[in-house]
Amino acid sequence: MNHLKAVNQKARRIEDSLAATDGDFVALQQGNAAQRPHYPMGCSIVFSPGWEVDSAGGTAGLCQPVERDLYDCYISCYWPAQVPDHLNNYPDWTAKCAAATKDWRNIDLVFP
Amino acid sequence: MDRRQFVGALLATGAAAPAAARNGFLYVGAWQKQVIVIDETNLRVAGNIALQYDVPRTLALTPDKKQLIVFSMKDCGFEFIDLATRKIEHSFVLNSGGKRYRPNGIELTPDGKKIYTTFYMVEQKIDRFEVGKTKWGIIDVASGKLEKEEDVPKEMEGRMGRGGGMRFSPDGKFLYSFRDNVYIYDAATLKEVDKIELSKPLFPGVERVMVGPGEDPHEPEGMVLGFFNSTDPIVHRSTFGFAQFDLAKRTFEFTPVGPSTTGIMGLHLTPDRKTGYTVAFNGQGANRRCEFWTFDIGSKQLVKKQEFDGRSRFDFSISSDGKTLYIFGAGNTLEAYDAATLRMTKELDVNADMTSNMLVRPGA
Repeated sequence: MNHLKAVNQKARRIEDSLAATDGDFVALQQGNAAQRPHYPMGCSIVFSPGWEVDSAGGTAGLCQPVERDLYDCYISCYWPAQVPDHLNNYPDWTAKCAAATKDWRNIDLVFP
Repeated sequence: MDRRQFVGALLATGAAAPAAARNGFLYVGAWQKQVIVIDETNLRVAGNIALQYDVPRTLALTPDKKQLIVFSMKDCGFEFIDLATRKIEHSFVLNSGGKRYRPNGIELTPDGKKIYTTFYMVEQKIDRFEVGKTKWGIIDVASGKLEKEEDVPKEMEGRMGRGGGMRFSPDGKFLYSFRDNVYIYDAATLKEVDKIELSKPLFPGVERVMVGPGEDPHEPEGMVLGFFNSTDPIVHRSTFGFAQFDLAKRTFEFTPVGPSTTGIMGLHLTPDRKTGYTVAFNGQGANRRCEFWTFDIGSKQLVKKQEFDGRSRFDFSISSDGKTLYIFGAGNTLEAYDAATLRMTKELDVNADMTSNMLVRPGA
């Protein structure tokens, strides 16, 4: 929707206001909010890190290699945005994959 | 000298095998539907037990130690495996129709006839899933039915968490639930009959008692030894220590040990109950350090520490003779550490990702 162009002050203020909410800036005026890592939007619907970043905002706390974490995310549906859910919709997603670090090529394709 | 005379001569000279030889078996659930059996003698995979329902999440033993109970989450399935033949002897699922049960920890009655659990039910409606309240449940093993359910007390709603340490008194009449307090229930009615309020005068500011899931093959009946955490109310210093309970006499003892760490795993004891081991964490994320801690149980003192390369997520157990520590889970490898030196001695690839706790059974 970039076809509309603000032509007066009020419209420009609305544009600025919307742009501010999309940005990834933390204003100093926001007070004493605790510093927390900022995750990219859309990485998880439960907004809990795991496959991209750990609880400290880095990657050192993740399973290494990352395939070691596959089954606990999948079985318990803990990160349903990153992997298919085992309990309800895709029970056989990894039926041919025993050790994920070695057999990950056998993981089935899923088309939600 | 014939063979019998030779063996007799060996025994007479004291050259017989030590009584606490490491000749047991390890059982751990693994992807996709199996229990892996590992021979402790040579630390090799000795067999696989195929399951019929789903991915194993929790393993437990029947009170007579003859059967392995395997719990899987998808259909809330229970499979009873005879340890001698490694065959499934009995099995059932709780889910039916649109009702799906999600248990948090299981505990068998001393006679092995009932399974006690806390659970919530998810019911599939025509346009949504409805998630129910946390409840106590009693499952009849023979019929495979949920025969009784009871609301948990209001003060415990939303705080049941995952797993949950539960133990029966030796006579089976009372159920102990170890959480922020120790709750004691009448096993027949599931009504609370007593409560040990840990934050009250027992020891200042005790927050929580952590007991293991009852996997210790040498645990004396009715005696529980675990860790507790406390924070004193004045300077808010956090302390950990040993919490010992006698479930028959309903007595307890708290022994502080030292400052708390970022996290601590369960306590595993040697068969003679003289030495205990745990894994402690310091720091978080990239700064996290993992250490084995060795305790002298008699004096309740920390006697040794050793840092090791802990994987990001793992579980911890001890061999049947208490001389080897195992690190496993979140992957397809099991690491063995010598309990005396706390150094790694072997890594075993079981060729499947492990998905449950591990049970250790001593050999004959």
